[in-house]
Amino acid sequence: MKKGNIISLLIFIVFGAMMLVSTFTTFDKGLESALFPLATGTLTVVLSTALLFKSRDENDKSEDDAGHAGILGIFGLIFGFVLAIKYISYLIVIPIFACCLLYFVGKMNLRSIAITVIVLEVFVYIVFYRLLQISII
Amino acid sequence: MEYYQVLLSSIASVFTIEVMFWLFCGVLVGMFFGLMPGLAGPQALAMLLPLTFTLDFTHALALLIGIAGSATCAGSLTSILIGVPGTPINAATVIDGYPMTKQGKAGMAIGAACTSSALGGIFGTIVLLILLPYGFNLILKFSFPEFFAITMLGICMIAFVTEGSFLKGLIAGVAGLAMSCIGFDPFINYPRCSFGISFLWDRLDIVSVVIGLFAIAEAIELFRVDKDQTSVKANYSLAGVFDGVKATFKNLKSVLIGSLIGTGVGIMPGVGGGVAQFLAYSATVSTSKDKSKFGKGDVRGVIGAEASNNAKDGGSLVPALLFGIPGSVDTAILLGAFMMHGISPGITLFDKNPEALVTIIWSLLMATVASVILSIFCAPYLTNLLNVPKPIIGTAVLILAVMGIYVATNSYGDIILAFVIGLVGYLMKKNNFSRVCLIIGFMLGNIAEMNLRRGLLMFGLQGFLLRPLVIIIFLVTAGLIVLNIRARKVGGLS
Repeated sequence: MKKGNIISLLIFIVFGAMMLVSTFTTFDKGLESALFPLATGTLTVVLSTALLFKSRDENDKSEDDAGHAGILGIFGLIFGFVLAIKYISYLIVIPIFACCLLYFVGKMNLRSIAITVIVLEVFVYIVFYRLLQISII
Repeated sequence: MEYYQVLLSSIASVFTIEVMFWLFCGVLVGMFFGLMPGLAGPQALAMLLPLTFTLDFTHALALLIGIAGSATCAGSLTSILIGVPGTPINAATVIDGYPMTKQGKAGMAIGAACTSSALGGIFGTIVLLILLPYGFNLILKFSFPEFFAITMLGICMIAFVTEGSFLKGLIAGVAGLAMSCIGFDPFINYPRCSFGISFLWDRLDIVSVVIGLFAIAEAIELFRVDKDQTSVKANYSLAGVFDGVKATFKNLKSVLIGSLIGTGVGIMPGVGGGVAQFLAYSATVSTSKDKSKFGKGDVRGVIGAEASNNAKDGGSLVPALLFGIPGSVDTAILLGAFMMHGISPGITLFDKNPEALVTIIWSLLMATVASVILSIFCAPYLTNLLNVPKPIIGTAVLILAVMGIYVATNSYGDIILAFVIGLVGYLMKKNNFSRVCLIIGFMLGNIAEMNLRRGLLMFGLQGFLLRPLVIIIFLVTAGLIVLNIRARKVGGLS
């Protein structure tokens, strides 16, 4: 079975299990409140586990993306971007993020990167800061 | 009659410069997203949904419907000119459209695609207009058990008609239902399933989920496309386009078949255009006397497929406007806009916001016609957009997605949530788990639970076992389940 499939199913199993565990705290508020999350959490765990066992013997030779270096690079940059916008102005973080993404992951040339970053920055400034009056500085 | 009187009296509120402006913006954005392989209407809707928070509701609807009504038509250009579907629901157009380009008949194919799109879109809108009053009368007979039964029908449908593995679709749908339980219990106002995180008390935001699943996941994928993008140049004549228009009117049977199938499939929750296009194509082939040219550049193949694509837009709005059940991803996001503006679908929409209904119907009609006209005359220029490198588009989508979430929610937590869901959405996409099932399950979960608990309070279990309409809906659901299981078994054997 593809590694990506296993990871996806494990995510669903963990999510379902967390839903199940968290419903135990609502039982004292009444069964009605816990019924729906309990049923859906249980179904998620059961179905995902069933598919995991059903597919474990399948021989899937298709491309497996789970460990692709480019994807990990994108995830890392996104993580950094999301952290940075909490503490630094959007107008500073956006061009840095765009440059890094286009240079390291997109492998674009510097001219294209410069044009893209300038256009994006101007667009964000005009549309969000000026037109929509959103505080992004 | 009262329904049509109310609609006519609300028309003045729709034909304003502001509504036309936002509709035109939506058409342009929808055409851009429809043209680019890897992007489609749902991604455009997801990205612009948070921006509609700052707009008046009718303006927001005009923008969103403009996108939904135009993306598919633009997607056909890419299918015909370069053999790559601009949107997933233009895949069937490639079968005969691209061979026509190779034979020097690109103009004819584009003319036929655009004309049949327009006719199919008009057909779907007329069906919507006709069915809504009957639907409103019907839902007056509905109470909580009936609405619960309808949502169960919708949930079962999405799992059974999903492409790929049925079990994967079911897992995604059920996970979506579970996600809808996170947050305050609507009856006892007590947080549940929030995993000790107070941010989650206020339920998962629909904007974050939609943007994460459809915009962010697709943007990540754009960085993984082949670097060798060959330059695209559209080369066709307007004279050829009018041959295509004439061919469409000579083959109205194909238009009708495609439109009927598209509208019917659109009405069924969760099915979407992906199924409609191939059903319409197959039906067009089956009902033709001369089948020899299909797959080698038969204009009827283009006509049937494209008519169904736009007809499904009107059909998918029927369950969405009547019951709040999305018939497709586009309508799921549209319902998200309803929720953002505090408007409920159903009979209250007609009573309190008739101008919203009028805006939807007329916007759909005008978006279809506008995108057809723009596609015919601007295709040579629009196709230059195909030469924009995908990483640039991916970067723009990611940044605009973040800005969009911030505009709608003003919450850093929702940005993190969207990216987490985006990563999960990417994994789902790569491993053939249906994101459509997840988003529809997420949207229907709250409706299903509310109606289940209210129904039990008001009628007890009897309400779900003895009411005639509930029995009929459950029987229809059971019948469809059996039919689908048998169809899958036969498909597996063959």
